[in-house]
Amino acid sequence: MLPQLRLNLPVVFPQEAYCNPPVGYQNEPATGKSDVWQGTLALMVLRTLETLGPQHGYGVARRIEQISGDLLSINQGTLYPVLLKLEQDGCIASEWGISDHNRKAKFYRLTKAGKKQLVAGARQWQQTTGIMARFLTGLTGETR
Amino acid sequence: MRLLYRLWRRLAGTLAGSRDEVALAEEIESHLQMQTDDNVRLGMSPGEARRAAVLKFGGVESIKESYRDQRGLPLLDSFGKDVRYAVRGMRRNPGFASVVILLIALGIGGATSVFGIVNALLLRPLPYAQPDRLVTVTLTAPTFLKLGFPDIGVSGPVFESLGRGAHSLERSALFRDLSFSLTGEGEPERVAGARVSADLFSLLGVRPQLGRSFTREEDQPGRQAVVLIGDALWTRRFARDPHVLGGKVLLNGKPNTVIGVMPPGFQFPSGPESPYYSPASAPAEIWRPLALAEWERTDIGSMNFSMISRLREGYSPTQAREELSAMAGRLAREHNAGAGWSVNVRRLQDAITRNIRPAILILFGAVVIVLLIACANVASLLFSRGLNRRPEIALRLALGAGPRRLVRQLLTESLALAGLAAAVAILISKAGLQGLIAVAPARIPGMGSAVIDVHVLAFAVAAAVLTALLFGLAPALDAVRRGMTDAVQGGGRVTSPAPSRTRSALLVSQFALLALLLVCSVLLAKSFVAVMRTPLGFRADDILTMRLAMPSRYDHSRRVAQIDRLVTGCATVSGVTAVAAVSTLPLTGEAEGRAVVAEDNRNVVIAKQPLFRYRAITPAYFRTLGIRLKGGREFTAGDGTQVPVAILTDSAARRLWPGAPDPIGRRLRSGDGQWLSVVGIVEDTRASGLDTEIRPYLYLPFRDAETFGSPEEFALVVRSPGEPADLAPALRSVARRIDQDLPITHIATMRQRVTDSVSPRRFPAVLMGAFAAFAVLLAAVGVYGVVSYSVARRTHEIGIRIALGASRRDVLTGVVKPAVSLALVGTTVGLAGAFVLTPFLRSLLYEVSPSDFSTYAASALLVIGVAAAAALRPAYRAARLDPVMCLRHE
Repeated sequence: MLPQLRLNLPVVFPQEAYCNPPVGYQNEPATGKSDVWQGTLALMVLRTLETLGPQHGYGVARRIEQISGDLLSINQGTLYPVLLKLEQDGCIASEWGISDHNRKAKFYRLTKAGKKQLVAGARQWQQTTGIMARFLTGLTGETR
Repeated sequence: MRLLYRLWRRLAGTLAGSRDEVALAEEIESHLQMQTDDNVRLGMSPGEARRAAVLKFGGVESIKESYRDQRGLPLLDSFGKDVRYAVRGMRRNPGFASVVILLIALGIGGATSVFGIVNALLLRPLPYAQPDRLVTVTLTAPTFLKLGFPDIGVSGPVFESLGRGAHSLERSALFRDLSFSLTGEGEPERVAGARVSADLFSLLGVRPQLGRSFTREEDQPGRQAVVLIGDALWTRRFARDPHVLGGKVLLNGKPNTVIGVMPPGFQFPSGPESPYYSPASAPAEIWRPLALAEWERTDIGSMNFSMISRLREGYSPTQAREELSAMAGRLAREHNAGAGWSVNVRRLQDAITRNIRPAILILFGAVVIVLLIACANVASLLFSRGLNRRPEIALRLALGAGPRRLVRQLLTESLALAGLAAAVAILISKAGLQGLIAVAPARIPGMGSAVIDVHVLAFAVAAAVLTALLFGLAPALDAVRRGMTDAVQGGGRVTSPAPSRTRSALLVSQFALLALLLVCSVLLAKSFVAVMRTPLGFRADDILTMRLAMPSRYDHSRRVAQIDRLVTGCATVSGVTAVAAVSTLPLTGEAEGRAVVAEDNRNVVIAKQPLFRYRAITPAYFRTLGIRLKGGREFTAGDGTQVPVAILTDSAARRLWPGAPDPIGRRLRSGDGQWLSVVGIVEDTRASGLDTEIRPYLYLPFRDAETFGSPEEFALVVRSPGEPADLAPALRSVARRIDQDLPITHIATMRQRVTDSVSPRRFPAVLMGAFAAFAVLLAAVGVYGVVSYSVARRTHEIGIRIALGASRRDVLTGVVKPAVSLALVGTTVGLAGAFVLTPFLRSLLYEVSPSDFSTYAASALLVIGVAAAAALRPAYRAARLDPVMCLRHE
């Protein structure tokens, strides 16, 4: 699936956003983020918090790296603006607590609105990938 | 909803500031420590672990920055910073800031004051239900147009036909103003009021605050002895006693039952919220049912009533006008009442403001021009300052600030200045509005209700933002552009020449606007002078006038007897040199008119029936007012008993017997009345104002006035060489001694009446003059600033010129000449603009053409003179420079 996305289909999946985020975001990490990337990352954060329960920023970052099998190694810092946005939208809530290794950390947990948002986001995402999959059936990596 | 929530959180984020900042730092630190811990557990050395953690996290500062962007509203954040920076700049340079703030505040303050009036008179809806659907309906017919009445009321049959049959009108009402003598307990009083059809109040959407309105049954002849009274009258005479309902009041000597009290401020039709308003008439305080008499219902020609209607939803006044005109034309043909009838339908608000709208809009235009001149002035100042700030701007650009960001910051500085100016302006406009109301003529309806409300404040704020853009944008762009060249060239020294083209354009536009304003102002001033120079036809000094009303139960001979007693009584008051009575005072409006038939030399009746107005007088009238007798004699005490006589004004005599050498002894009559012999000719007087045309009048002794209609209201004129106003109490007591039932309505000196009659012209003339004077000052300051700045910059060059042999005179002309030539260009543009725009002034002009040559020439000379004078001082300084000092300069 992933190599296929190296094609230029920029509107829904900017390839650099999905396949190669570290490079793209190291160069212009501050303001150049695309909404799509933020949206994708937000969905991953919500899903992580749903599976793991309340979690601090570092934990969320680790989880995303593990799941993507290091294919998607995000620039961990970029997570924080996303966390803030989700909090502003009321999808997650935060409070300070103590981590497993006795470090003071800010813990995020999913709210009701966040759960709804996750379900809706996941459905939309599956729909999109479904359409794209059908659209691109039969296309191999060598076409290029 | 979601968006709002997000916006709120972000706003909160913006305001929370440093607390969040600490929390973010802590959170990032804890993240880094956890990563470091993990790395150490994987076997890295502590230093290496920390380094790897930081690398993995990404640029901490840039993450923080994007976090901040997400947290707050970045535009608002930077705006706040810019404002703070701007305020610091103002503190560093308070002189510059206060000059700019003062100039703009005066401009905005003036504009806001005048807008307060625009708002009160032209924009604020009338205090009635759905006022935009209320219209006045008036007739126009060629026969009345010829007599000088463009708009007339309607008669009973016309109302019956138009009011009931028209599709475009939802409903209509009819009324007629009427004054009542209110007697009984307390001082006798003359109270203004109206006869109104039963549904007028519901048409307007106004209910009595107490009691009820009229019923249809009461709107019948014989049943109409019921009244509604106004709030002020209720307070004045009944001490707000609710038991007034059902009580009786004596109106013109007859009892009427009070059935209700109207709410405070309701004064229709003669209150200020009415097209029928005139300052001479008091606000309406008593209403009675219209109850049309049989002849009023059937006589199509007596157009004595005013009609007001509510348009049906979705109809415009134009549509109503077309429909009603067609109906009126048909009606006139059916009744054989003359051709060419049509109807004017005007929105009530337009009808009220019809006469003053042009003056108000022109004044508003003028004050906006003053504001524009102030803007141009401030823009010039900012250009100069921009040049001084070039090193700073170059440095900021070099440090990586974006040019857009810099322009935004410079604009924010302008905005901060304009914001402060607006705050000052609101204070100024408060005083300004008071001043405007004080100098405004009483004849402007609703003027007193002008206040600084939300709309006016919004205007001030909008004006501030617009002016900030107007005076700030060009200098900001210029400063940043120049800063960029400096940054590239690496030069901090100010060497390149001033941006002469833009600044010249600014000066030219100031001169052009000034010239335009001056032309308008001079035209209005000339009109005012022309009005003041108009001969009154009488001597207005040392005269006291008072208006009185006779009880209507008195018959004519009793009235005449009372007037004789009054005149004799007043003559005995010490200080009085002459007294007379007259049915209608000069300058208070035209008297009633009658068609008059004249007799020719050979006793053939002239068929023409010109409309003549008349005044009934006592013999001393001409002597008291100082009206010159041009032929024949005055009335004597014996006139008007056996041989009926009349005295004509000059223009009346010429109109009746054109070319006849001596009209004395000829005869005329009104309708079928008795023949009157002309015994004298007197000078014309102005009846309704100095600027109105002279109408033919005829004078009768009071005794003979019965055939013309016995006057119920009359006035006394008293000549006293001292201070005539001091006589008022003595005259009042004389009147009371002679008759308890003679209400005195209005006491004023004749001088006061003259002043009142010209105040609608004085108001715009004085204001326009004030605006023009301020504009002259602004332009002078502007020229002075620009020229002295350029002299300062050219000190070195001037020094070289003087050293090389240029004479003082050369230097002087070299400095003044450019300013004068810019003034010439500006004046040309301004005069051309004036030529196009002044025709709009026409309604305010009197005996002056909008393209009056001397006005244009004088304005042009004044603008150029101001430019030269303002440039002269810095030029003089330049000419006296010491070349040695100059060369050392810089």
